[in-house]
Amino acid sequence: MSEPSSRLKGRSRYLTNHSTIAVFAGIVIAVAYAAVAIAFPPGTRLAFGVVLGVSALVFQITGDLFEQRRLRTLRGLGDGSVPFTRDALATAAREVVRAPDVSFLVVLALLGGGAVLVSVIWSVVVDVPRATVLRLSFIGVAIAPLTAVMSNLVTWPRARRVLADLVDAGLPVEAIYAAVPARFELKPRLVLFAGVATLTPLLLVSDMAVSRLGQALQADAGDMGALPLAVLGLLVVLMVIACAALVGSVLGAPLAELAKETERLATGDYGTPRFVPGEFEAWAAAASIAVLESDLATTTRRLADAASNIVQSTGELSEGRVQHLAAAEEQSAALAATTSTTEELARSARQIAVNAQRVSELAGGTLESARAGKASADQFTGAMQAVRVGNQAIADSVVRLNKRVQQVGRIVEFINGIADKSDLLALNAELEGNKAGEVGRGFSLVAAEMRRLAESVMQSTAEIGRLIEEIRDATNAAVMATEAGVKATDAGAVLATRVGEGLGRILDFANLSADAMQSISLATGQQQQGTDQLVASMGDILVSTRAAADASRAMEATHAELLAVTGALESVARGREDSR
Amino acid sequence: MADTVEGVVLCRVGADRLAVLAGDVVGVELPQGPAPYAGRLFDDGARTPDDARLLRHETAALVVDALEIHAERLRLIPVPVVLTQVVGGALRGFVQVADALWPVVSLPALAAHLRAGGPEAA
Repeated sequence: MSEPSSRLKGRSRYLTNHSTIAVFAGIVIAVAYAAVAIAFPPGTRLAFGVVLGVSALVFQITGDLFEQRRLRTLRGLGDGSVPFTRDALATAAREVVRAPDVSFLVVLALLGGGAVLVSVIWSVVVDVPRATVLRLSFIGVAIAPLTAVMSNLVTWPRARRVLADLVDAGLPVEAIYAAVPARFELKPRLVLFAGVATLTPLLLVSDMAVSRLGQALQADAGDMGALPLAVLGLLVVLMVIACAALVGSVLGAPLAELAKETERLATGDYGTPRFVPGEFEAWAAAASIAVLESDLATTTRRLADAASNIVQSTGELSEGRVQHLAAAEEQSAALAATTSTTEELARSARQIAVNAQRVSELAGGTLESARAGKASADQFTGAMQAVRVGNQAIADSVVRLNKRVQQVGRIVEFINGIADKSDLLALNAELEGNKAGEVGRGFSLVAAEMRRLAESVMQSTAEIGRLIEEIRDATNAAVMATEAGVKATDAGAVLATRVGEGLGRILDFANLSADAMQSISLATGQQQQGTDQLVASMGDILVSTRAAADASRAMEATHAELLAVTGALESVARGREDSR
Repeated sequence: MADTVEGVVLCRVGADRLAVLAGDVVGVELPQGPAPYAGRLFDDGARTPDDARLLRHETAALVVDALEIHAERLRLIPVPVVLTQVVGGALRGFVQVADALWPVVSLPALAAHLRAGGPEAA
C-alpha cells in the first residue's frame, strides 16, 4: 500500500483540470458559434483572436490560482507540508466537496465576464460595430452557464475519487460523513441543470432566428447557408443530450453504489462501513447507511455477546433449575411437615385458649373465694377479739374467786385453829375430869363430847380445807387455763390478723391473677387466631411451593427451547463474525 | 389380886401405840420446845407430824401423833421380867383395849430415856 502523501499528491490539480478543459471547450463553442452567427468586419478577426487568446490565458491562470487556493489543505497533504491529522483530512474533505461548485463559479465568471471583456477590448482595438460587440458578449454570457454546468458535472466524479483517497489515507468513514454535513440541494440543482440545458439552446436558437430575420430584412446581408445552421442545431442538441446524460450518469453513480451497499447489508455482509461518495441526498443516504451499518455491527457484536451470555446463563440456569427443583421438592416436603406441625400447634393453641379461659374462670372463682375468705378472716378476727375479752373477764372473775377462796381458806384455818384449841381444851378437860375420878366423870363425858365436836369440826374444816385446796387448784388451773386461753386468743387474734393480711395479699394476688389470666385468655385467643391464620398461610405457601415446583418442571421445556433459540442466535452471530 | 389402872391416855405413834397413865399427864398442848418424839422408839428417823400433841408432865414432856383418853378401869398386865429394863425401865405393864394390847409406860422415864439417847441407850 502506498504512502498517504503519495496517494494525495497532485490531487488538487486533478480536481481542477476539468474546469480548465471546460473553459476551453466553452471558448471553442462560443467562437465557433460566433464565427457562424456573426459577420466579423473585415480586418478584425486577427485582433479578435489575439485579444481572445491573451484574455483566455490570463483568465485561465487567474481561475486556476483561485481554485488551487480553495484546495490548499489538500495540496498541502499531497506535498507533505500539512501533517496527516484527522482534522486536516476532514478539512481537505470539505475542500474537495466544495470544489465542483467552485469550478462552476469560476467557469461561469470566466466565460461570462471574459466574453464581455474580450468584446470590449476587441472593440477598443479595432473598429467594430456596437451590435457586433453586444452580440458577441451575449453569446459568451449565454454559453457560460452551460459550460459551468458541464465543468461542475465532470468535476463531481473526480471529487468522489479524491474523497475516496482521503478515506484510504486514514480518514474514517464516520469522520468524513460527520465532517461534511449533508446538503439537500438535489432538487434545485436538477432545476438549475435542466434550466441551463434548456435555456442555453433556446437562447442560441433565438439569437440565430433574430440574426436570420435581421439578415433577411437587410438586403446587403450575406447568406449564412443552411449547413452551418444545421451544424449549429445539431451541436445544440448534442450538448443538451450530453448534459442530460452527464447529469444522469453523475447522479446515478452514487445511487447505484448505495443500492449495492444496501444489497450487501441485506445479505448480512456488514461490519466496517464503506465509503460511498456522492452528493446532496445521496451523501446523506450514504452517511445514514454508514451509521446504520456501524450500529448494526455494534448491535450484532452485542447480540453475539448476549447470545453467548444467554447460553452460559441458560446453562447455569439449567443447573440452578435442577437445584431449584430439588430444593422446591425438599421445601414442599418440609412445608408439608411444617404445615402438619402448624396444624398440631393450632390445635394446641385452641386447647390452650380453652384452658386459659377455664383458668381465667377459676381465677375469677379464686378471687371470689379470696374475698369471702378475707371477710371470714375479718369476722374471725372480730370473734377472736370478743373471745379474748370474754377470757379476760373470766380470768378476772377466777382471780376474784381465788381471792375469795383464799379468804375462805383463811377463815377455815381460823376455825380449824379454834377447833384444834377446842380439842386440846376438851382433851385437857376430859383428862382433868378423868383425874377427878367419879366426880369428874360427867365432866369428862361432856369434855369428850366437846372434843368429838371439836374433832368433827376439825374434820369438817379439814374437808373444807381439802375442798378449798381443790377449789384453789381448780381456780389456779382455771386461771392458768384462762391465761392460756387469753394467750391462745391473743395468738389466735395475731394469727387471724396474719391470716387476714395473708388473705388480703391473696386477694390482691387473686386480683392480679384474675387480670393476668384475663389478659392471658385474650392473648391466647389472639394467638389461636394467629395460629389459625398461620395454618392457612402455611397451606397457601405449600400450594405455592408445589406450584413453583410444577413451574420449575415446566421450565425444563422452556429452557430447552431457549437453548435452541440462543444456540441458533449465537451461531448466526458467530457466522457473521467468521464470514468477515 | 391383880393390879388395875383407871384412866389411861392411849397414844398413837405412827403405826404403833403406847399408853400413859392419865395421872402422869399434867396437860395436853401443842408441841413446842425440845420435847422428844415418841416415834423415835420405833424409828430413829421418824419426824414429828404437824398435828402432833405434846403430853406435858411436871418434869418432862413427850410428843405423840394422836391421843385419846380411856376413863374406864383396866387390868394392868404386869411386865415380864425380861422386859423390865427395856426402854430405860419405863414400861409399867400392858392394858387391853378394844382387843389390842397397849404397852403402858412412865411418861417421865420414857422422856428421860429418849433424851438420853433413844433405843440405843436402853
